[in-house]
Amino acid sequence: MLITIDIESPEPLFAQLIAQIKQAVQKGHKKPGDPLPSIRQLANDLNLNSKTVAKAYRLLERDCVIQTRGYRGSYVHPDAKENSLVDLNELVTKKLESAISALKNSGATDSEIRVAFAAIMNSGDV
Amino acid sequence: MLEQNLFSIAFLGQILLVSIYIPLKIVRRMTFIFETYPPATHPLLYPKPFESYLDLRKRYRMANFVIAAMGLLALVVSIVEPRGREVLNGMAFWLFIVQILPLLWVEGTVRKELKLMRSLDSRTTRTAELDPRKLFDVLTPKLFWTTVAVYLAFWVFIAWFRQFDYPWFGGFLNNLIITGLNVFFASIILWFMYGKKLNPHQTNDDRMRVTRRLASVMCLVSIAVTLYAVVTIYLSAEGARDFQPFARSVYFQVIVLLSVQTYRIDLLNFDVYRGDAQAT
Repeated sequence: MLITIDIESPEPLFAQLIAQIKQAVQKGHKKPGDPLPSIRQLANDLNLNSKTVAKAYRLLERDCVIQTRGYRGSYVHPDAKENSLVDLNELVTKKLESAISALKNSGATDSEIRVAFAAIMNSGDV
Repeated sequence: MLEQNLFSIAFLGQILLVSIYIPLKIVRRMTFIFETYPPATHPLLYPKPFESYLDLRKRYRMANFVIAAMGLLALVVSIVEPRGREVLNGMAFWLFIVQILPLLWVEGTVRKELKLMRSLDSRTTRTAELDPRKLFDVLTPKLFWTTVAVYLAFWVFIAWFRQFDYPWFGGFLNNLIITGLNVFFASIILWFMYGKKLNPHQTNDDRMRVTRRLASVMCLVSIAVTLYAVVTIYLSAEGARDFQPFARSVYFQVIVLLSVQTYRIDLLNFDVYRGDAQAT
């Protein structure tokens, strides 16, 4: 099973990796319990920084598409097929859209929304 | 006298093998590649002008010819002049070092070529296998466990040998040296398995083929080094140190024979070096 990334694509490299691994799971090329290459192997093969691959693996683990078993490496999660269909980006966009339109309806300006959003994100309370 | 005759034969073998037979094989291999995959159809294989590769082949052939002639001359002198024999005994090692220089030079040139290939590679897409590579993908369990067994047997041998208390015996220092060498061999295998891809056009199958060959060579060389250490210690203990130059020469030949084992070149995918391959 080969994966391909395009370094000139506007889509971030880690996002390309996530999409391809999810695709491999959905198409059945990777089944639950199948091992994945180590971060170092994949980074060297794709000539990427290992932090990029680590970020992709971390997000896949958060989405329960893969699971890390300590030093033994990363494996495909038992519920990977269902979980790989969940798109958190889409969910975030949808929720933000409804929140922003509600704020605008209340009369808030774009800059007020931006300032409030940045303040909340930077405060670390949420 | 016997040891001298044996050594002379081994020394002749060393010259014939390392400076004539193996270079001939390598030159034939180069010629096969140049003729079967010429720059007209496989431009990506030649990042530099084709003449420089022909020049490399010519120089390599010439260097080996000169070294072989020097070795043969030394051998003849040692046969004619008895005093020259002692000099020849010491020469086997230095001749070996000189003999492998052309091979190292070619290896260094290939590395530079690959670097150039990488810098000229204008593709924006990169591919990788989504399967992890494991040690037993590149090495048969039989060879791996044999290498481990030989290494462990060496520890037992040294521990047993210590009881004789020979003043020249280095004891566990021998284990330290063999362990260091094995760590070096293991790191080369791991580097080939997980390290950066040196040839940007090489397919994953070819990479695995090359790594498999390298891993078995490293294991066989590790076994040969350990066995040579045992033979050297045994010869010293038996007071047969005069046989050591002979053993050393045979050892060099075995090492070179194992190291230059090559994979079948026709199995490699050379289509990746075609002119239209860059577009993919």
